[in-house]
Amino acid sequence: MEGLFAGLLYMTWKQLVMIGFGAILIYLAIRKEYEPALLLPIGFGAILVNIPFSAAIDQGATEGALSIFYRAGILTEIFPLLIFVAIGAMIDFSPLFRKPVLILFGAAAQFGIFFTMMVATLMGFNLREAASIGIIGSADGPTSIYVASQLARNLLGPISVAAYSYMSLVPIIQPPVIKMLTTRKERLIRMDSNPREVSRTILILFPILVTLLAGLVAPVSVALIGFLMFGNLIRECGVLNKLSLAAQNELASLVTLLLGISIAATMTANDFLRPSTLMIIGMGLLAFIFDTAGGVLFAKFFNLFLKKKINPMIGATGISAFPMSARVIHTMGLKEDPTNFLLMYAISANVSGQIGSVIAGGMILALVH
Amino acid sequence: MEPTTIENFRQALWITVRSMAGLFVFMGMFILLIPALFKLFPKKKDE
Repeated sequence: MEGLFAGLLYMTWKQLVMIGFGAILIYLAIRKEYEPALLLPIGFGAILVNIPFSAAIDQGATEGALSIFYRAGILTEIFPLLIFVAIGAMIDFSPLFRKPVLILFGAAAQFGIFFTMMVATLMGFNLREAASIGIIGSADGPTSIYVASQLARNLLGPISVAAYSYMSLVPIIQPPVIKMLTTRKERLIRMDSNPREVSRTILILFPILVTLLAGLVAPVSVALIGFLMFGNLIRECGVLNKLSLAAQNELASLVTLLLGISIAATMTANDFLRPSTLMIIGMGLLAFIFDTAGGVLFAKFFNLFLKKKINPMIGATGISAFPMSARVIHTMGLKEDPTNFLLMYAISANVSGQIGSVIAGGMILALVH
Repeated sequence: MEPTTIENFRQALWITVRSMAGLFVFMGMFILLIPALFKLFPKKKDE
């Protein structure tokens, strides 16, 4: 009889808390639609792995399915890289060419990553852990998972949860930071339009050139950027439409599902319920705040040298959360002046943020030993 | 503060400087590359 109810008899309060946490993630995914594709599998996985003696994870010598997925897909980096192929197939880089100078915001708005890394070292995390926490600020889930799986596997669970949660909270996090750092006059700045037709040759060459350049600057980033750009090449080449659609839809859906539920394998009560988890969640927020601040302040600095000023709100879209961040800034612009349409520029900077976040991940992998 | 913490912070600061500089250089290269691409491969009428 005892064998039948072993789960109930050996349930600890920590496991109960984790099951409750999993339920909250599922609630947020369904009711609030916070990154449901990721938070729902993570939430359900958190329940699966916290049932006492769960057969979903390794129990002594007996292997569990989630642990197998984790070793095969996360530790080998296969799942995040396949997600990059899917994301690459979804990105249209042509907005980047409209006003190339906006590409710089894709660099400036990565500041939160590095600022948070420094803060994390001061809070007692070692350099590898601090870098993995900082990368939450890339606002790019797969990059966060990729970097954390290489540098601090012990923190993969909380880092993934923080990264995806804050990505969905961009509309709440960014506006107050932007308002605090800009005047109304700055938020009213109009930008002149410069529509440029981009040839197909450029769109095909772009992913190849980015891969080559990134590889030359930081060879360790080649897998990250290479898979992203491979997906984009499939999209832009014009002869692999079926593959492109499959990457954007079926591949993205399947791998996201496996990625989410595999990450949950790390969310056992003993590994997750630690003070460090709360610290990581707090520092993730800090990273997003300083990303936004970095972008806005760089735009203000840049304006000192420009005749035709850039609306500094655009700087905040240099993060990777696409197209959420661009929409937020567009809406903020419209609130200030209903005839000021910033979306086109916001999208340009937002796309550059997608490249910037991956390059930042590569930089971290190259420099943190 | 422990010496390891100070050493980790010092390294993090140095990585920050190098990474941010690297990011700007990388993005700067694209700003230079894009006009060159437009000159080399203008959009044709039939595209």
